[in-house]
Amino acid sequence: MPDYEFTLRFQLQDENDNPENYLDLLFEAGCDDALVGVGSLGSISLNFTREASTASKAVTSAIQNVLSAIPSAILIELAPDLVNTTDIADIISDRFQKLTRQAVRKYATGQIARTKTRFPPAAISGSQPLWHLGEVLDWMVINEKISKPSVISKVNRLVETTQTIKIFNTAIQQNTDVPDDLLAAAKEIIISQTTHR
Amino acid sequence: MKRKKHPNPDIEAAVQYAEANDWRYVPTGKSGHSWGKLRCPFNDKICRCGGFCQNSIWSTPSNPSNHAKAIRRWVDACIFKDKKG
Repeated sequence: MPDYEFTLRFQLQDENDNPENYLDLLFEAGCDDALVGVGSLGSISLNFTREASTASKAVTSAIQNVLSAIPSAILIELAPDLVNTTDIADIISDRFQKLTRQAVRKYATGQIARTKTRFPPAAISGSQPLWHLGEVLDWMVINEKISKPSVISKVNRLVETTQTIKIFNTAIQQNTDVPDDLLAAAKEIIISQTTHR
Repeated sequence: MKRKKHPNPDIEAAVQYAEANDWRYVPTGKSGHSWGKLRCPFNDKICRCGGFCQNSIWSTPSNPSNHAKAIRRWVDACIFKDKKG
């Protein structure tokens, strides 16, 4: 079975709660395939390398494992999802092939000739723009910036993982008090736009 | 005090790699399944929200070679690695 790598970050109920208290519970709940980050009180991070038939099964089962060990934990963030140019260069160099931050900047600012598709727009702009990693990886494959046959299946697995992660992160953000009418209006606009994407 | 060796050779090598990058071994008091912790020399909350400045290593992870890879990856992903003096 293929394995999927991702990180889950949870907040613990009490801000002074020591995450080490939960290590044995996590191990017994099936998190023996995670490196557990216990660096700060009141939160816990788990970096999973999970074997599963699909990315969504890997991610959902991991979340369920953690919640069965610590029912009061609150899921805050899944990674990798939003990344800057340095992250993109690091992730691709670490896992697939050498890539400099300067090259990523060139791609992102359209300073390269002859690409089949436009580089994805930044999801968040500002002084430190952020992109969805999955969209960038898709662009790299379509435009043959990643083309080694031996790594394509690994890239696809990471894309699959980021798609699942994006759905969870979106759900986390939407789970706040939003006026229903405003949410409906926002959805209507976004849905009408997908037709000409 | 000299630390105990990790029973798995892949993980022991990854721990030595972390130590070569100035990460420090600390025993875990409260857990039977945790072999110990590795502490980042920088311990700065700005890096990954401080969540991974200290990692717990299992004695018997489900897949030792993946666990070893994860340790190396987190050492390499520290935003201060090779930057601060």
